[in-house]
Amino acid sequence: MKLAKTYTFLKKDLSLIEDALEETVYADQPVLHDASTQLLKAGGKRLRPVFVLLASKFGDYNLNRIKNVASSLELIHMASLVHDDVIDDSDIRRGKPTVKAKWDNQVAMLTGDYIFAKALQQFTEIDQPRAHQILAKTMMELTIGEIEQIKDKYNLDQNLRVYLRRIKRKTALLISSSCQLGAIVANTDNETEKALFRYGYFMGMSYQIIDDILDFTASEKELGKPAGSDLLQGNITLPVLYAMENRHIRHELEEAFADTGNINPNLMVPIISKISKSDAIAKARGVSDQYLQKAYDSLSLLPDIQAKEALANIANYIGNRKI
Amino acid sequence: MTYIDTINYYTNLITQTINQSFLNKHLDEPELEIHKMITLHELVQDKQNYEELVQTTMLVQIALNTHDKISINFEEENIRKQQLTVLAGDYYSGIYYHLLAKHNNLAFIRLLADGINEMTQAKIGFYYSDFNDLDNFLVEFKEIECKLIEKVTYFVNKSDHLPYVTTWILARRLEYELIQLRKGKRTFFHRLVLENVQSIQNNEQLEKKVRQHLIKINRDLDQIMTNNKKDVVIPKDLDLFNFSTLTKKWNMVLEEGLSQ
Repeated sequence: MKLAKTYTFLKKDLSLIEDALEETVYADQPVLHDASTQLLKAGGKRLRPVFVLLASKFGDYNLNRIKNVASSLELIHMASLVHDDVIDDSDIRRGKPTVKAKWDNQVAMLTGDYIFAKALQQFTEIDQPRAHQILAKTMMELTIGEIEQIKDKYNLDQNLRVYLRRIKRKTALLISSSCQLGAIVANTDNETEKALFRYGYFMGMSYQIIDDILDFTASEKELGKPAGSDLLQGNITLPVLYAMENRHIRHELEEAFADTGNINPNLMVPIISKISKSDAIAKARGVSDQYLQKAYDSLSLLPDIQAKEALANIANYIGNRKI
Repeated sequence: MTYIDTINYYTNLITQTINQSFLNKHLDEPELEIHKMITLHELVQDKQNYEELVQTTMLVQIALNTHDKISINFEEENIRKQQLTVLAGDYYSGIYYHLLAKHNNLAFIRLLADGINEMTQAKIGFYYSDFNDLDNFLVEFKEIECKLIEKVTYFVNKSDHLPYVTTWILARRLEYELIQLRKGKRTFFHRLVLENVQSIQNNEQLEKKVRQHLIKINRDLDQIMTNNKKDVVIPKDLDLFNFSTLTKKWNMVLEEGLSQ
């Protein structure tokens, strides 16, 4: 099943959010306008807006207010991607040239800052202080997660806890905040808000773990980059952590990472292949499944409405996605 | 508070706020533009939450200045530092939002977001424009340089002070640029002028033109002081460079910027 089929009843509302996104990033300055819409036009799953809309269905569903939250969160996500592409020196995102590739790093920095400012301008339409406190904290954590990722690059001595804390900051919190902010803006009761937050958090953790697995198991064509790219860049993800339980693989990695300034990709290819064929993939999937189960469990506390079924379907889709 | 007390107070406040061990380890301390810090303090000190207004405006300024350091293309030898520079700017922006959200100051969150928005629009046009002479260049440069302070000035209903304040800020900046030029240091400003102003090809021409402009700007300041004494929120001849030497920790303005 395609992801979008799980929430077809949101189609009209999502289309309004798409319009709002386009309207919001409009800039008088032509280069800034083109750069800001570059990533928008490349599409994307719009997962964060979907989570905001679905969470809001458990309360007072006022689309005008919800729209501001949903589009702000997508814009914050977009701004971070534009800056991430500078950090990772990426030329392609969602099959299109990145802002930094089409223009340059300087334009990408300004574009990211511009989109971020637009997101905040829009979010200030929401006059609930707690919503701002949550979003602000999430954004800080998101950046700290990225800083930690750079700090932990090529560090083979990190443990599961370090990895989980990093992906919590890097990915899970923005998804859990999307659910929580959807609940807050719709004025749901505290229990509902908490259940939705927990669902989002567990989903986000599972989502990132699956992403890290796919980096080894999907093809270059599917990924749009060579398999094992994360490891080539020094990122130690869950499959790598499990694979290193095999002392041969660990030893090979230690040798390959001996000179981090001069990694030989040819030396890495067989290691990446070994990891992708090892039981580390199944073990990592097992952790993802545990998070998914926790996400389902969180949903069990919510009333049986269409949005609940859609959230469950999304969890199912995320857990089984091939790319 | 004396000016030096003001500088030290906000310097410490901001240093503590942006403290992040890994960034501290790998990046130089962010530059704090003390001329803007003092200006902001003088403009908002009669407001109840004046410290927060100065602190958060300076954080946004630091964030944007930090991002200006990113070169057009990453240099191979220093990738980690450049990656962290991107994140440091994002981190400082996050702190501005976090501090204001904590105190429910939505109006100021919006005001600074408006400022970032207008500044990025102005910058992107400015960086890629050609100018016939320094006059035209400085008109746009001044607008960008003073954008955030201009927003705050309107916010505290003191727009009458803008002509003096913005001219004073530009004068301090040009003085600084002259000093750096004499020291043989290439700054972000120098690079922009040499790349974008057609009539200026070398450092000698740049120094001569900046010196001429400073004389003109100082005359403008005298004129404003004569006509509207009440608009003079900061003494015209305040010796910031002496303060900068005293505080040592901070450079006044960006030292790095767009690379070739």
